[in-house]
Amino acid sequence: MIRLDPRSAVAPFDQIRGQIADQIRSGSLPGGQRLPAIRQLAADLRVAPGTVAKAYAALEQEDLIETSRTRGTRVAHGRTHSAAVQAAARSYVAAVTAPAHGLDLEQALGAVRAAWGGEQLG
Amino acid sequence: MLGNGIVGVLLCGAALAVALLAILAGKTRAARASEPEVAQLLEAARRGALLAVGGAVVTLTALFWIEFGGDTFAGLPFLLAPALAGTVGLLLYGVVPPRATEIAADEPREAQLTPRMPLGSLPRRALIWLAALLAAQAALLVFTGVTASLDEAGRSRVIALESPEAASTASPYPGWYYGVPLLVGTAILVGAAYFALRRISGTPALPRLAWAESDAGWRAVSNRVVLAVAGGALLLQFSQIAGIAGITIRSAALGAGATSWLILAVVLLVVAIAAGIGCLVLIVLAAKWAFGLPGIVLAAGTAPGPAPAAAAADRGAAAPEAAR
Repeated sequence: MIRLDPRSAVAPFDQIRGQIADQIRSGSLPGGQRLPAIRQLAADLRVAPGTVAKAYAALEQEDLIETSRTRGTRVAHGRTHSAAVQAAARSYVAAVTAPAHGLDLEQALGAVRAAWGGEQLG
Repeated sequence: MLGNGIVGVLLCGAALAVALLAILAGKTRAARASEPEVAQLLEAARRGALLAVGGAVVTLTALFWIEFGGDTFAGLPFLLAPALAGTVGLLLYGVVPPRATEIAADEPREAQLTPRMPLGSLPRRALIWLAALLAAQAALLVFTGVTASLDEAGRSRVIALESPEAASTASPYPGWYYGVPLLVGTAILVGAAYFALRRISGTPALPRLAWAESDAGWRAVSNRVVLAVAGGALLLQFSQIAGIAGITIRSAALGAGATSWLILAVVLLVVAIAAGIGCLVLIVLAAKWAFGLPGIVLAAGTAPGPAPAAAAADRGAAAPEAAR
């Protein structure tokens, strides 16, 4: 599923791109699965077809999807995070959302960014 | 040809009467979704389905009543009437603009990542039956075409049978004079059905995942109506072809004493009756589904067809845009 929030500071095409990318990397969208046509997704999200086309183009540049005239747009194979990465993500989420901490998503991501920055510097 | 017109009117009258009885029998019930967006969409879908069924039935009745073409075309319009009526009904459905649920510009909206294709969510069994019917009709038309002879005007619409004792001819027989236009008409009908199915799959989805089952439900029922209208038209046409061929072959076979042809005639007449009954059943079902579309979708709870499974698979984590 894709959720588009017009009030968000993130551009619509980036919201679409990001959510599809996350689902591909998490394995929710398996390799080979066909994605809806640009027109269909644009109509369903009530956005211009160009917005979805831009998102698909960005995903294709990241090698997350493949587009062909005969097979349509499909999720590329082998783009899922490894089982270890997914397990680590699940553990982290379980830890930070526990009642002792109760972080929301933005707070949890902020902690990741801070740790990531420290890791880069260290 | 007046006889054809009378038979046609009686057939249409019977179909309308049966449809009305089925509806009044209370199988369909008025239902209204609690969400106005869903209720509006279901009501629009119902109107579209009624347009398809009503358009086809009214067109067929009108064509049979006016018996267009009279005897000038040796009954060809009578044979083409079912395909034409089905095409009109399905085109009416297809040209009505799809209804997209309005949503405020700043309101969040959700969409599934499941592709919708015109043929993708159709019941496999229905597609197989339709394909078999098309193949059977084509085979029958080819058979009658190659076994037909020319009449005095040079039209391939006569059957001539011989035996050691006698020879006999009879018409009208569905030779190439009827067969080629019928094949073309059938192709146009199939195209109109695909056009209507594209309209269904192309209509934007409801903008909330919570409404996904209703969204899939109205499409599934609408697909059923389209297939029933197309299938009903094909069955009526097939019934006419088989019936005319059977009657004419029987007449020629009796005159020529050709026993094997007589057996074939009986088989064709049985097939014609079965196809005619099948047509009536499909049209009644199409009317019932069209009238009761909102109730069927809401009562089902889970929508028929593959959409619920796809929706479940599609409920992967959709990371909010805040992550970006």
